[in-house]
Amino acid sequence: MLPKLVKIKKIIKENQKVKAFIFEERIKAIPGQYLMIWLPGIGEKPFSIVNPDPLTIIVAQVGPFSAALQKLAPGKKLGYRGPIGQGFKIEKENILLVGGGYGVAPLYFLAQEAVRKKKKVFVILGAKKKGELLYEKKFKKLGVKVFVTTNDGSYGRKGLATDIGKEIIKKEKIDMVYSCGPEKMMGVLGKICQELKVPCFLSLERFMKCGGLGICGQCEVNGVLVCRKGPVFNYRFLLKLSDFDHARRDQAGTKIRL
Amino acid sequence: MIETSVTLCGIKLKNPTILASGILGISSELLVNVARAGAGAVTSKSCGLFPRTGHSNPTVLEWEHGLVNAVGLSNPGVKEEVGELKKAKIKLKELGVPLIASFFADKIDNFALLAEKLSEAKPDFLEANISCPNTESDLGRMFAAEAKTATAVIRAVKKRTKIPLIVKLSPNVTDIKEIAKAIEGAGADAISAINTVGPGMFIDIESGKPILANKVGGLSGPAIRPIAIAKVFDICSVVKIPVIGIGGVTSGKDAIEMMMAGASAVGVGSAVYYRGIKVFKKINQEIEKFMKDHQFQNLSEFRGIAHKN
Repeated sequence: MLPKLVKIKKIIKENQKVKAFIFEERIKAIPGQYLMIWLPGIGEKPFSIVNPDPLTIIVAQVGPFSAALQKLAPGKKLGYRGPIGQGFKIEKENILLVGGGYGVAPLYFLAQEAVRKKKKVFVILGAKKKGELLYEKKFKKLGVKVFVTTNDGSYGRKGLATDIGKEIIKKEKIDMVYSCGPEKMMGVLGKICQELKVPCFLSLERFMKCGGLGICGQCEVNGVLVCRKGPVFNYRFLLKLSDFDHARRDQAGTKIRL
Repeated sequence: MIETSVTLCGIKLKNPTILASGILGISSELLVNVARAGAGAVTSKSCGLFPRTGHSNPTVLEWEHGLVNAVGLSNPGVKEEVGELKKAKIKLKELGVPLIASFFADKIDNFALLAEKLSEAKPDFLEANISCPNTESDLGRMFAAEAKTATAVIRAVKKRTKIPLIVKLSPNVTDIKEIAKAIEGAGADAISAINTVGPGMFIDIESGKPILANKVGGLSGPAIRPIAIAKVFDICSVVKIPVIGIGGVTSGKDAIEMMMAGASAVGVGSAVYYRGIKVFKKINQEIEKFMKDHQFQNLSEFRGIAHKN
């Protein structure tokens, strides 16, 4: 499939670094799946689906490509390929979502689906500081119980999202954990879940060269393709991969430490 | 009893399917996974002297009839590659699957230097990629464009290594027969053909912009199979060294067709997109079924039969 061009209907500034893009488009997707977003003449990168209808993504300012996207105005067209990859399977009853930074993106889509399926949903939103917190109100609007942590203590509990994970899992009798965010954070979360014997699914991020076609191998973690077998993996499976929480490949394919 | 093994330059492959260069061959673990998925041999992604990021995204597109790519020879450089190949080699040896180390360079001397460095990892074959169609802007015109430059690469490489040398040819030339004959004369041990066709371009008509960041890219997959068959047929009509037929091989029938054109083995690349990593096992099963249905016992019974009057 070649990229399909769709018009940006609305752009919302969500916080100091993040803008949401809402398109004149609806798609069918599973929470955790992603799209390759193409800005003609500039580049293409993977983005989590925040909402399939109307199609929504969030763009955090992290590099030149996201900076170029953030400069766009409604009416402009972007291309997309997808949805691609294995998403989150919604199981069990008392669900905890743990989002670090812009990793909140696929969890919002997941929360909507989980609420629709009558699950009891809790979410920990971790941010560096208050101005980088994302979607607190939107989660609350869904009827989800929200916990906030900031690294600098400017809002919510001071510390990391994982700091309060253990007590929430115990107190709320959590029987399923889903997370997306910095891999180091997810590594810590995985260990907590393992200790408490709660299943845990994590969404990984890797450089994707071939656009999620599963042929270049650049996104591999110990021979496993994140683009196709992931981006969502069972933590138990990731434990077998020595590069999880440790290494990724850059654009040249050189392995670098996380 | 059906026998589908094949011997290339004295090295035995359990079956004639080979992972083509540039597909999945980025890490030792992926190469081993492909071997476990049933490939008769595996080729690593082309490596150069130094780390190279390649072209910007989008680098690969899928359209109705195949793929188009301008990855631009991204690779981590020979130093890291030798380590990766050494790791791969240990496991591949246990599995009985030969390793082909692909490499490219900007100058004749650098091809020779790379061959020497890669030989440290003891791959079963080296493959000189002299035919990438996407890197003219910085690496210069491909060496496969003319017999003179192609043979110069081979002579320089052969002086620095004893490992059998496969040379990958481009279809985008005036007379592939002349080039094939010349490289055989220069000491190439085998030929792999073809590299991607074109280049081709896709323009998005909404934005009016070429979709690939490099604007153009090499075509692969089903669309190019008839071209690949014709080129392999031509090459096999003039050389005695073994030919690995590459280009759009997606099924057992495609592989049979390629071998009937004269190929000793077949490269499988884009088909990984269409049928997943299990494509190797699937193609082999389909080859065996064809052989059983047609009462062939080994590949040599039909290899090159399209050349017979």
